[in-house]
Amino acid sequence: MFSLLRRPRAIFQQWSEDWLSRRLPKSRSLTLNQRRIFILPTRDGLGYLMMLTAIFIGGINYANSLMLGIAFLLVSLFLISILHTYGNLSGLQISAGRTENAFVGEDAVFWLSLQGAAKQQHESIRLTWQSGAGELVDLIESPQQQVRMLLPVHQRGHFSPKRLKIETCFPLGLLRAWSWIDMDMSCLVYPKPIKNAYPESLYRNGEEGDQLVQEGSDDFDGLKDYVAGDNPRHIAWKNYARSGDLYSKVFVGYEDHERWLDWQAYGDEIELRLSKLSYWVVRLRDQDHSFGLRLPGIEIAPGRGEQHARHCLEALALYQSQVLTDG
Amino acid sequence: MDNSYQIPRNSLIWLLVSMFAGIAPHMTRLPIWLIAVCLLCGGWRVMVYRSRWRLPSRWVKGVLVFSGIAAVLGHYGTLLGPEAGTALLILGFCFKLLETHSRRDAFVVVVLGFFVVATAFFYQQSMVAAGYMLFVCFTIVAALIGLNQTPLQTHPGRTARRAGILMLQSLPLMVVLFIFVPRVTPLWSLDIGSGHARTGLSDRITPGDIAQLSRSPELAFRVQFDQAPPDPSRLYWRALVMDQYDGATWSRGDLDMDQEPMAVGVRSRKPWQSQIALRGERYSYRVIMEPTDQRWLFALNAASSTDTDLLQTRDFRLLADRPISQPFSYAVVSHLNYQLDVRLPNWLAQKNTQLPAAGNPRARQLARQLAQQSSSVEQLVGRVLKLFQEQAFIYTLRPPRLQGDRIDQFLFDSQQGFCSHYAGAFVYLMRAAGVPARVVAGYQGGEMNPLGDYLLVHQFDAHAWAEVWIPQKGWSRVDPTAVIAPSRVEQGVEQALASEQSFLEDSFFSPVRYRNVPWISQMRLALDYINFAWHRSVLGYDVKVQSQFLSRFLGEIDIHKLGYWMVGMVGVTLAVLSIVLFWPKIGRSRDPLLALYLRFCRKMAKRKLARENGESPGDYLLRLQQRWPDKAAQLQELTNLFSEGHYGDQRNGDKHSGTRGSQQRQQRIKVILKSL
Repeated sequence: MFSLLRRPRAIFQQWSEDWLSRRLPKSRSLTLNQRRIFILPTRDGLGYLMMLTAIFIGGINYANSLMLGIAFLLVSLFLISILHTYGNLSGLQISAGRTENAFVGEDAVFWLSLQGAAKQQHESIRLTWQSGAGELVDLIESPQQQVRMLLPVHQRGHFSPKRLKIETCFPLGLLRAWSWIDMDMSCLVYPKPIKNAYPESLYRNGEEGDQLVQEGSDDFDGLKDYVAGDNPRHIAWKNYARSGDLYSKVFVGYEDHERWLDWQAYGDEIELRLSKLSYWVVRLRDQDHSFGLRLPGIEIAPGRGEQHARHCLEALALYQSQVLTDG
Repeated sequence: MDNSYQIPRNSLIWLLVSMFAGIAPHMTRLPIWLIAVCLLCGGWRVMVYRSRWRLPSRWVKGVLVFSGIAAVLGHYGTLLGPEAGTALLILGFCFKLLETHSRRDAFVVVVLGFFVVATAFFYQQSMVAAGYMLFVCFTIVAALIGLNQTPLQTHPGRTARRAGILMLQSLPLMVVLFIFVPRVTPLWSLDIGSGHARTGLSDRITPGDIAQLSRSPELAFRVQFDQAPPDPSRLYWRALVMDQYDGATWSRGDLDMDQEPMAVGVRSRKPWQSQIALRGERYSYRVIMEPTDQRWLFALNAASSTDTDLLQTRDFRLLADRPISQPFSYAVVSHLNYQLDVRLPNWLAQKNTQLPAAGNPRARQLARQLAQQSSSVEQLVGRVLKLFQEQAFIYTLRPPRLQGDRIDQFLFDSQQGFCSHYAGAFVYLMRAAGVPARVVAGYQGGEMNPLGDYLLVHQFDAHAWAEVWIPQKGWSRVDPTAVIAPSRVEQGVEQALASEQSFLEDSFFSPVRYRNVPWISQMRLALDYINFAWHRSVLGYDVKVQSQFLSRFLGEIDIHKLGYWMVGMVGVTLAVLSIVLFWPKIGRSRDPLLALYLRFCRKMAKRKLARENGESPGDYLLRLQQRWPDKAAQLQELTNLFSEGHYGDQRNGDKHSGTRGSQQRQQRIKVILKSL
């Protein structure tokens, strides 16, 4: 029943999507022109038209030429603002920029570059992705601007956003000009880190006889008096705020040996396993430990640092995944 | 209350400006408390913007709205009609300012401003008023733009510039629409009383009361003749006929001549109407009158009109179908040689011989005496006029007051008065002698403006005269004032009062008072000419004027043709405007680097080594280097800079990588270009 109702709508959406993709194919950079800009009155614009009709009828009925003149002025303003609203988008060049990967549930960052037409100001331009907040941009003093767009991501793997809506109602708010742009951009979405204890099996099967300084998985052990030279990241600022004395947090960590994060050590279903591994990658990166990663078919040799962690996270993100969109 | 939405600064500034600019022209008409409320609301909004105050709570607003409506009702006695309606609109405008919680609310406030502007034209339609209102519209547009700017834009001057551009571009289109949009007659009839007294004729004349009319320098109407106008002494503009006398006041009587069946459409062919267009001396002209709030129109006897919506009355006047509250223009055809009511119906004869049963015994005695001496009505008229002439009657605007038997007092004692005294006394004597006669009120004469060849008739040209029914001739005009003060008719009231110095003595600042100072007079006439052009071509641009005007250029006009022309002209105007708007973008390369390289190629081409079609920059470089080995390094650098910038960007799709870098690159290319 519902599917029957939904079908024409789905067909229409499919058709409009096809039509759009012919007119506005996926690209890294494009310039808005008359083939790509749509323009229609806003609700305010319709209200405005009704008001000027009322003034027009008043002018006719009271045989008042000047009242008619005002109505004509309002019509003219409306028509002129079609040109201005259109002109506010036209000639604008939008290019894809850098992207920043994110964990599931966070916001991925997409950088867009806007380049205005020569000798023209573009004002009050709104960029929105179907999900996520919009950004308002002015191109007034400089003809070029970088826009940082945030987009929440919900699924692990490759992510490329759907069409970007670029719209403007400037200058009078009576008309809206807009375009749907398919930006050829994507980022990786890492599995959401889920806190978990370091699997015991990994101690026993450790390659180089890892020993722990202390049993117990958690790192934070207690406070000690701050001594010059202690890592400033370990200062207990909350205590400092309370008492005014400086303390350093004491962490009970594993010895500075290579550690392996192994797929086999977990018995959960795939996504949960990846999330747990993701947690340990982030954690070991933050503690600047050396670690390696083993996934079925993939082995990343132990290493440390941002680059290495990124490599591992990418491997987690892409594990058995296909390209996903934010549908 | 929810204070979440703040009207942006740019918008609020212009909104307040437009609000006060828009209300200012209503200021003189609005009660003082309403202006106080406006100021309060504006101030409140500013305090909200500065986060000092909060928007009023719901019940405060309720009290405000309720008491506002009650006050309007108390002040005007109604909530309807333009006066009270305008007051309500302005109140609503101010209150809405205190109730803006969203962008939409703010939009409504702005748009109400346009309504306030439109209603101002109920009362003021001068060119100055129109120009001022255009300025108010500009401020409203600025407020609207401010509403659509990002919060980062806080410079009201920039907003104003944008609004100015929009307005300037809209004006030509507005003119096109004004000319070409087909005008239609009103869809339904609406009357607006102005609510305040207008100077003008009164439909009651009480000789002996103070004369007020002759002292107003205001314009009554303008007349444009299609041919040379008649002699000034024949310019008797009839407006009212008064046929009832109660011993003190001449009035229009019980039979309403302005209603059916006494008033009918100019085309309706009643038997009495057919008398009007009888003989030669045909004058056709257009009268453009100021609002009077009355239905009567001004015309030379005997008048008819080609405007089918006008009426004719049984006493041969022209009449509009509703009170004239806007400047109004109509076409008239007058035949100055006429014979009207040659066969006078009994009821009309009776009506025009009516007198109070008693009173003024000396005048009645005189009338009987003169009638006995005369063999015809014409002779009787001649004797009465001779009497006025021979005895020492004086034309003055400062006659003594009369009471009781006013006619007797005037004829035998004071012997001083102005037109209505003479006309009244004359008609009294005629009626006392049994001759049908009546008092006619209107204007006499007028001032020619040589600039536009049209006649100006002022309020001080108001006049009263008499019409006498003469057997075989019908109604004939007799102006007793012309006998006592011939200059009044030949040269106007100013000359007639030259010795008395009472002409416009109250209107010290009126330029009309200084008509005899040549440069003031010229300036006044030039100004009036501009005003007249405004009235005729803008205010008076109605169905008739439009078809007349357009058929001059486009031939025969009908509504379809007009529609096509309108759409065509709007299209052409928009096309021209869009070319103006988008021209800079057409044919100009958006890539500055490419533009620089092409400039370089042109420079080389001038030295007889042009780049061939399809030749790559690299190949071209080799040829250039062969020709000018000494410049090889510079040529190389320039080409490299271009290639890196141009092709590198395209390959990487990495536009943002170096805005600064690309600018430095361009700078460098420019330097090399100069050195070559």
